This record gives sequence, C-alpha cells and structure tokens, in this order.
Amino acid sequence: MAESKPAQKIWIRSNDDKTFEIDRDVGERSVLIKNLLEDVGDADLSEENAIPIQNVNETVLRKVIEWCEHHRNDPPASQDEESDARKKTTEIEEWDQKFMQVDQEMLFEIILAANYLDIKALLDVGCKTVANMIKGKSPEEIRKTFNITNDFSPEEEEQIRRENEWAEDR
Amino acid sequence: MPTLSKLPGEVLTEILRRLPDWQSLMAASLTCQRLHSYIQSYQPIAADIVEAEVGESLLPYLIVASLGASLPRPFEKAWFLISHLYDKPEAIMVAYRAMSPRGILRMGHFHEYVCLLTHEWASDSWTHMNMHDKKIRALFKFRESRRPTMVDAEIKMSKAEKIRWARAIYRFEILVHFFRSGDVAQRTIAKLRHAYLAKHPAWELEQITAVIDFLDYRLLYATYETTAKYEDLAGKDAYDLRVGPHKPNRQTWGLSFLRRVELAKSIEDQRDILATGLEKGSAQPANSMQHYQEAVARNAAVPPQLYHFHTGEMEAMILAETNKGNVDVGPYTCWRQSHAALSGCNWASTRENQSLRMIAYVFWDQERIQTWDLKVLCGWLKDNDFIRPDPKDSKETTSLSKPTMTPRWARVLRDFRSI
Repeated sequence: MAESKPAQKIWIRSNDDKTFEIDRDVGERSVLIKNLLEDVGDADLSEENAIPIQNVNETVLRKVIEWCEHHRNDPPASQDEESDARKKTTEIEEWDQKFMQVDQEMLFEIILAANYLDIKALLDVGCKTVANMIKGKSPEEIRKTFNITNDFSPEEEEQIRRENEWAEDR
Repeated sequence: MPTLSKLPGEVLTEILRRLPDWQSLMAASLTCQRLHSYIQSYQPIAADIVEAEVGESLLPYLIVASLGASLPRPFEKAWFLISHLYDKPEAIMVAYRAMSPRGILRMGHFHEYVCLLTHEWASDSWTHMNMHDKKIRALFKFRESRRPTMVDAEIKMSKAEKIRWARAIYRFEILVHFFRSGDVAQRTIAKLRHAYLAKHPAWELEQITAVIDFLDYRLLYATYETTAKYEDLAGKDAYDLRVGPHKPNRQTWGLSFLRRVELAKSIEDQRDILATGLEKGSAQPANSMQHYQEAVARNAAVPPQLYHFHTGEMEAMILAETNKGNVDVGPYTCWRQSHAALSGCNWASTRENQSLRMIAYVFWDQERIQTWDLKVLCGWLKDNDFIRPDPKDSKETTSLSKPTMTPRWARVLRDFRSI
C-alpha cells in the first residue's frame, strides 16, 4: 500500500509577528488564505515569506488555527446549508460550544477574525454563540451582559414599543 | 476591545440575523440606538427571524391577516389576497419581502399572541375534560375511578397541532377583517364570505368554529365585570355583547379588539372600547344554525334526534381508519355523521357540537387518544346521553366574581351555559 503523502505546509504570521506553521488544508478553511495561496504559487511558500494576517494577533490566531484543525475534514457548506443554519440558531456542536467558552473579548475577537479571514462556519458558530447569549433576555439584561449604555430617552423607548404594537383597530 | 455595540455593521447584522425569535430581536432593538438602527434599516434581519419563527405554513396566513387588520375597508377589491393565499402563496411572500421592518416586527408580535391563544385553547380543552363543564361530564359519564390522569399533564403541542390551530385562528382573523358585515353591502360581503369559507374542507370549518367558541368564551370572561356594571355602553345596549353560538351575530371583532379589551386599564376604559365594538359588523362562520333550522323546516324527514350521536359513531370518530392518513381530519367524521342529512357545510358550526369543539384539541389526535386511553371514556355513552342540555345547569357555579350581577346578566350567563 502506498504511503500517504505528507501534508503540505504553509506559514502564516500574526500582526504581532508570530509565525505559525500549519497544514495547507487547515489554512484553506479560510477563503482569504486559500485565495492568497492561489495567487502566490507553491514556489514562493516559505517560513520567511509567511502570509501576513494583518488584523489578527497571536492569541486569537492560535485559537482560530485550533478551530480550523478540528474542522479540517468538514465538507464545505453549500449555499442552502448556510441559509438553513440561520434558522437553527440554537444548534451548536458540543465541541464548538466548549471552544467558544472564552471571555467576551476573545469571543468577539474570534468573530472578527473569522469575518476577516472569511471562515464562514466559524463566523456562524461565533454569531450563534452571541445570539444565544441574547436569547430570552430583557433589554436591560442584554445591556448588562454586553456592557452597553442605554442611550434611549424613556420617551424614545416607549415610542419604539408602541410602534411595534400590533393591536391597532379600525 | 471589541464589544457588541461597536462591532462592524456586517458582523452585527450576522449576529442579529441569528437571533432565534421575535422577542429576542425586539429586546435587542430596545437595547441601544445602534442596534435599533440596524434592525430598522436592514429589512432581512426582521424578515428572516419572523419567517423562521412562524414557518412557511403559517406565514402567508399571518401576512394576509395582518393586512386585513390594517388595510382600509371595504375589501371587495382585495379578494386577490385571498386567492393568492390559497392558490399562490409565493405571491404573498413577495409582498412580505417588500414590507418594512417595523411592519414585520408588528407581525411578530401578532404571531406571539396567536401562539399564546393556541396554547391556552389547548389548555382549556384539557380543563373541560377535567370535568369543570357539566355537559362534558355528562357526555362521558366519568367515574372518579376511571377518570383519566392526563388532565394535569403539561400541554405539549406537536408542530402539526401548533400549525393546525394557529392556522384556524388566522383563518378566523381573516374572516373577521375581510368579511365582516356592517359597513359595506351585505350581499357582496355575504357572497365573498361564502366563497372564502368554501375554500376549506368541512373539518377545517369546524376548526375555525372551535376557535370562535374559545374566543367567545374569552371575551365573555374578559368583559364580565364591565358589562355587569354598565348595561348601557355609551347609549348602546350591552345585551348585544352576548356571546355564544346561539347568538345570530357573534362577537367576532378580531384578536386586536379582544387584546385591547383585555389590556384596558380600568372598567371605564374597557366600557369605551366595548362601545366601539358595538358599532362594528359581525362575521358569522357559516350561518349554519339558521341554515339548519331552515332545512329542518323544509324537510320533515330530518328528525330532531339528528343531534345525538351513537356510541358506535363516537368510536368511529376516535379510531376511524379514514382519519389515520390525515391528522387534520381528526374527529370530524363523528361531527359529520350526526348531521349527515344536511347538505354542504350546513352541519358545521352548530351549537349542538359546541361541547365537542371545546374538547376538540384533546380528541384531534390519534396518538393522544391511544396514549391516554380515551377510547375507554366512550364506553358509557348511550344514545341519549350526548350533549343534552341539563335543565339544572343554572345551578352550576362559576369561577367568576359576581360583584353587581343584574338579572339581565344573570340571564345572559344562564343562556350561555345552557348551550
């Protein structure tokens, strides 16, 4: 039996100059990296010539790579699945739930990194996690959870409530 | 440090679109100006959430019912909405995609109330089974030792049940708003109303009537103290507020009216709302009692005992083979058989079936009948035991307080109970 071919390596560099060596298929979970690799060509891949990930620091990039390694064999999501995923907001895989058990700052950093790197599945998990943190809460509880300042006047708040009241009658 | 309210718009949108329900979206909208602004300016956020929550089966009904409550009357020219609802619902969805976020959020609010009513209706059905109602007690001849234990169980409606009964509520709402008589030509409205009702199979008409029975009761309970105190509502006779299928013009003014009555802050506010209701027309489900009586008058061959079921028919209702393939048919077979001599849908919505409709939720499910062994309840049924008004019913107690019940209102309640 033929031996399996060793995984091709690529290098990416965080915005605070930490270089990571990762398998190419792990890196290609990111559409941004995948497109860059196609542009660069195999001959120019090297540790010295690492792909710069400008908007992501070492700590966050390490987490993103961890997620990509775990999901390296996932089939790419179809367009239908992506739209369907929005309808199943509470459904998050157990591993992903544990992965997202981080402080709020890191959670938003991961979401921003997923958006920048164009990793749709990770963005989906991150957004679902935040959506679940909002679910079932009152406006005041949401403000408290996310440290948001209420910039409505009481009159504005009442007006919004009234605007959404359906019990009008002719 | 990134925070929710400072995320880039594209990311914030992705998060908001994944909120699981209307309530969460509404709460997020009231959190701060930025979130509110995004929800109001990017329509798909509200549209996606309400669509996912309501589901494709009910959303066209919700849309048409909402339009019916807000469009100017009369509605002769709006018949195309009804046609599209039943024959081309995708056209209704195109209109939905063009609606404002505010309009969609209102619809989400409306749907929340419909879901609440659906659940309460199911819960009430169990309560009636729990022998708070004398007629149902007589109907099944319960004995304590054989009394089913399911009545205290938590109500868990299946997806099919939620759709079935919420749909019936929306159909009622459409009936009320589009085909209410009173301010437009009676003949035109009557013609359109019949055309609308004819779009439903018989058992679905009975589902609509089951909803109307429930809402009649709810209005009666909601307005009891006010109408007991104010027989005269702004110069109008409060006796017209009498509800129940025996009343020719039933109080079918729509859910928003009912909700406003329920939310009134004082008896005086409620009186004012009720007074406006008396100026509205009404929307009967099928004029069925009138048709029935006419049919009896024309045809002496229709015996009075037609009203009564037979034990075999009741069992057929519960375990009918024909019901198995279509959960929407439910126990209609039995309803129908008791009025087999009548043509068309004239048998539907009759007052004689009201006791059955009040427990229709319980019996409209084969699995529930099996699970709770409801079939055994029919073992005591005899021909003449079925829905025969009890002359002693007037002694039945009510959970309502009776602060200033006048003789007139005592009569109203007595009439209602003796259905």
